[in-house]
Amino acid sequence: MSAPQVLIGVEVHLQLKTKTKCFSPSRYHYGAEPNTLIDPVVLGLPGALPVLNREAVRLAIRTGLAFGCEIAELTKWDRKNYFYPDLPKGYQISQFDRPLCTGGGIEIDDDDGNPKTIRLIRAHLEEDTGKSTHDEGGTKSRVDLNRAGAPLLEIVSEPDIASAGEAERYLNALREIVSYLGTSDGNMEEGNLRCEPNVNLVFENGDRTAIVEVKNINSVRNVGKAIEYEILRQTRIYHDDGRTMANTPRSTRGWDDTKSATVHQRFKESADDYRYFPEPDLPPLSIARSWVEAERAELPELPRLRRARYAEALGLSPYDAEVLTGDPILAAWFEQALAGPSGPRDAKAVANWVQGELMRHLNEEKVELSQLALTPAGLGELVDLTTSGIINAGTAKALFRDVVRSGESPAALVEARGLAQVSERGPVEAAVRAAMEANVQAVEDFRGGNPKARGRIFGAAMKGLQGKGDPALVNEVLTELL
Amino acid sequence: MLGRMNPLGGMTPFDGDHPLDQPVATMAARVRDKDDALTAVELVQASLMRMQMLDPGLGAFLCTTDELALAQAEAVDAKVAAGEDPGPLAGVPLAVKDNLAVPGAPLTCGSKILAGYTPPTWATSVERAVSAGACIVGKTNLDEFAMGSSTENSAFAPSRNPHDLDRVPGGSSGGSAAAVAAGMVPLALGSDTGGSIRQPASLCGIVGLKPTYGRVSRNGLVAFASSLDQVGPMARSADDARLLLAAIEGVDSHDATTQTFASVAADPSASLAGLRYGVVQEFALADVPGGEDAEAAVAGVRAVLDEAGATGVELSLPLVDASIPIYYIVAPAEASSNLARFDGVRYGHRTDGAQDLESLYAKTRDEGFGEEVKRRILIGTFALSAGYADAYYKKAMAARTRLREQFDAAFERCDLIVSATTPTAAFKIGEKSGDPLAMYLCDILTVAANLAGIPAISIPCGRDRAGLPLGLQLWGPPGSEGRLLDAAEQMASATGLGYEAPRASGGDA
Amino acid sequence: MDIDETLVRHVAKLARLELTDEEVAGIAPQLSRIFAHVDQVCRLEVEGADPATQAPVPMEGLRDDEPGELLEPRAILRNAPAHDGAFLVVPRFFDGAEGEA
Repeated sequence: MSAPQVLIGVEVHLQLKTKTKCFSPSRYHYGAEPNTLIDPVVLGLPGALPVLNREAVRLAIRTGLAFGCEIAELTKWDRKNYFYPDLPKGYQISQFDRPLCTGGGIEIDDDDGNPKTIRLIRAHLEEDTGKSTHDEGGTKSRVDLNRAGAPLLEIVSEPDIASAGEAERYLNALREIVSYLGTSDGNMEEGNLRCEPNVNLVFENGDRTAIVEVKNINSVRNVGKAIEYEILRQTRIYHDDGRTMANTPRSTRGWDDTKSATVHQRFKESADDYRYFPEPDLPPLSIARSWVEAERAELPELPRLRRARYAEALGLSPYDAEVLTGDPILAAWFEQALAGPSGPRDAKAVANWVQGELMRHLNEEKVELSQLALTPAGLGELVDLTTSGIINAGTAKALFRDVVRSGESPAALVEARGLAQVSERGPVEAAVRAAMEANVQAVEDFRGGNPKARGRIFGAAMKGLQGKGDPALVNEVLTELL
Repeated sequence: MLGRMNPLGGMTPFDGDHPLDQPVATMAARVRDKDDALTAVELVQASLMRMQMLDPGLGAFLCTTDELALAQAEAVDAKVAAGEDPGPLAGVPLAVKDNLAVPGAPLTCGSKILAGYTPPTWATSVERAVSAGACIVGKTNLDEFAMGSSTENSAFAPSRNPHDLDRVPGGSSGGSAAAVAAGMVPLALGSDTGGSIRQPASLCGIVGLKPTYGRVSRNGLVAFASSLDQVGPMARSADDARLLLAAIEGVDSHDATTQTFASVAADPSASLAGLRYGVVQEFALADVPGGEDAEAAVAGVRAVLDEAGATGVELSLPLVDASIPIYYIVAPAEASSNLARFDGVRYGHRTDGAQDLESLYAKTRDEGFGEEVKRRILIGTFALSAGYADAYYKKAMAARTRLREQFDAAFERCDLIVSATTPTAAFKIGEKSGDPLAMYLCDILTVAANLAGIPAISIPCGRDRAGLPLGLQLWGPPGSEGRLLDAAEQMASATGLGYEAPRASGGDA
Repeated sequence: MDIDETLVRHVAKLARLELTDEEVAGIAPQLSRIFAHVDQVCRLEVEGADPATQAPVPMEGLRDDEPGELLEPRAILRNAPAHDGAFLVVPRFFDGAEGEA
């Protein structure tokens, strides 16, 4: 018996990073005191009217373009009618039959590491709801409307995702793209990215299980866990109870983090009747192609393409490419450091510095890249001093620790402090001879067959050169004289 | 002293030359004139005094806003004293339909569901009138959520027609119409979704104008049917209405459906000579029971127009016959959504002791809404519901577009359209309240303007055989309010028909 | 369109209106009578008509992303039928998102 085919479509709600809400000039940010980010429109006061935020549309277009979506020339808003305490007007302003973005897709690696595109059905703009909290076992629910009206892009995928791993990679890819674009924080913990997978299975004989939508998942990892759970659960109820799409209604289940399980919430026996109709308070929107093209021209290189370029054109390892492109700010910094005065520097050398000394410093000091005194050009200079043999590795590391804080030019410091490597034979030979004289015992030990003793003499010679000796030359001379 | 004894609450305010009974331009000019002794405070006090005397018999107002009015009047007078211009409506008392937000005053919409609610911000139209110098003296009665044609659907009490206290003033802006007709205020704001300004204006013998959709901001107007609602002026003359419209119109950053249209200023070169007026076959009242008087009144006006050199153009707009059905799908559909926010969670009435959320909603709404509002919510919810939306809502919206196209074509052949405003004069209180469909048919001559988004004005047009006022309606293409008002003024001069103070009878007041 | 009591109850549920049996019995024939009149819409030949009531606006016509005035929490709570501190309060309901409080 072969494993069933897994069909997963994902609905993502992505909060767009505007200053104000989608349909009113009320500020929005995460974590404010309850019911403080409210205006008459958000509260649904009688007579208050929505007015669309251009920036919300722009960020939605920008995101859609990055996904390769078609941007509608004419789009419109619709009311989705339902009663809920965190939905102040009794309807949500959303988009029904004329979404802003259609088609497109997000490329991921499948479980075998091959590229695979998850196609998108649509992405549309809508307003967020407020948030309710509930007395555990009590009688009251409390409503905070701060979040109500924040702009959301709802991104709906085709059921192209075939495993929990693919779903996680899909979400990570999506998050990475929006973080590159700067259109959303994409943070699941703060709820500005929310994800609801729809899961069902197709068996070899053509039987399908009923589609289950899983809600209340608060991390990418848990999306994977919820899907894994659903695959097992649906396989079991199919084999044990013969439950299929034909005899079981669609349902909604919630992810229970403490049980690591999905829990039944409700059946969708009759389709919810949202009574969609065009929002009469908002005229339709026509989007000039020049607007779309201008936005397209502003798109940054997307992470997956950039990674491929780092691997192929720059010759970096897949791991290095992954690390460097993981954060758009880091990637940009790296590329600036790469750009030398006379053509690109050695990518591997720059990458080693960025991933080595630079990242270590950032982690140890808990500082952001933007807070560093060291500029990308400064690091580039340091790389040049090393690769051209002007300073040795030890000097370079010591120098890094200074310039990362001071922002001084490494070349100028080498000049001022006389840190340039000693590469002339005369002073090196003098230092080696002095070291041998001072370490007679070690010389004897070495000649007596103990190779480790050589290190002591080498160290003493380098010390004599204040650490600036060209290590290769020192070694060469030492070998001759020993 | 304000007046002599009369059946209308025992007193009539009209002594002929009281400043409150002058054209609005005259009273505002006098207030603005530093050398004229008349002050805004005097005008407002006179208005408040008339309200005190007359309103107990009329029920036009749901609340008076004395303190607000006097403070606004004092501000106007202070500006005059300081040599500043308080605006073209300086000191003019204004009544505001109680579905428009005035901070500090309760906003009821004639409904129990808004019990205790006071809005924090101004309706744009009201705020603009105040900026032009108007002083808000009170909030007027209406059919609950503006749904009705008689004010009998007010949750509080019906208003009465100043011309016959046993009869309705029309609706839903019946309180505003009665307040103007009775001389309590020279100007009032109403709202018109299917005729709610024009029909009561007609029944009360005053002028009422529904502007082009989008000319006046709906911000702060409690929505009934968002794609149809417009705020508009009610007054004793077209020129008075023009002053109020000029003050309140214009693009508003709080209402995305507002637009700029041609100025409403009077065109001194406008003339009835050469005017092409359309007469729409489908508006004929010959077959409507009781429609003879209105039909005769229109015919009388046509004769005067023809004599003045205007030309009648016969038109047919077949979809006008479907306008009531279209309207009674579109308006309730939007209303069912607009009224969802009245759920007892954030403001207004909440039922006592509901143990669960569903009963909180259902009981609050059942207790808070009146019968007609519930009926329309049900009609609208049904028309939008799965399985029926295509047959009803979508079809009605498409038909609406075709209707608008028929009006567009008509206005290529004529400058404006002339019709009656209502098939009959004011009916008796209670006469139609048991028959919703009969009440809906009161709007038969008005709803098409809302569906097409075009402006229309009702002006006094004589009386029926019982001596009750009748109205004539002028319809124009989008943005033609200036021309409609010019024509209305000229027709009033040519026919000698206009506002007349009530000679009320009936009732037990 | 004949609107029977079952349909009235279904629509009333969608609209969150608790109608008594008497109300339902009274309203059903009224709505049937109204829809007998309104039904002529269903027979209109209006294929191909654009149902939009407003002309589209361009991107330039939209609102700038500039913060405006907020309502004071006091102004919100003053009108609220029930609140607990700064929160609005309703009878406890289930929305699947447990234990966030």
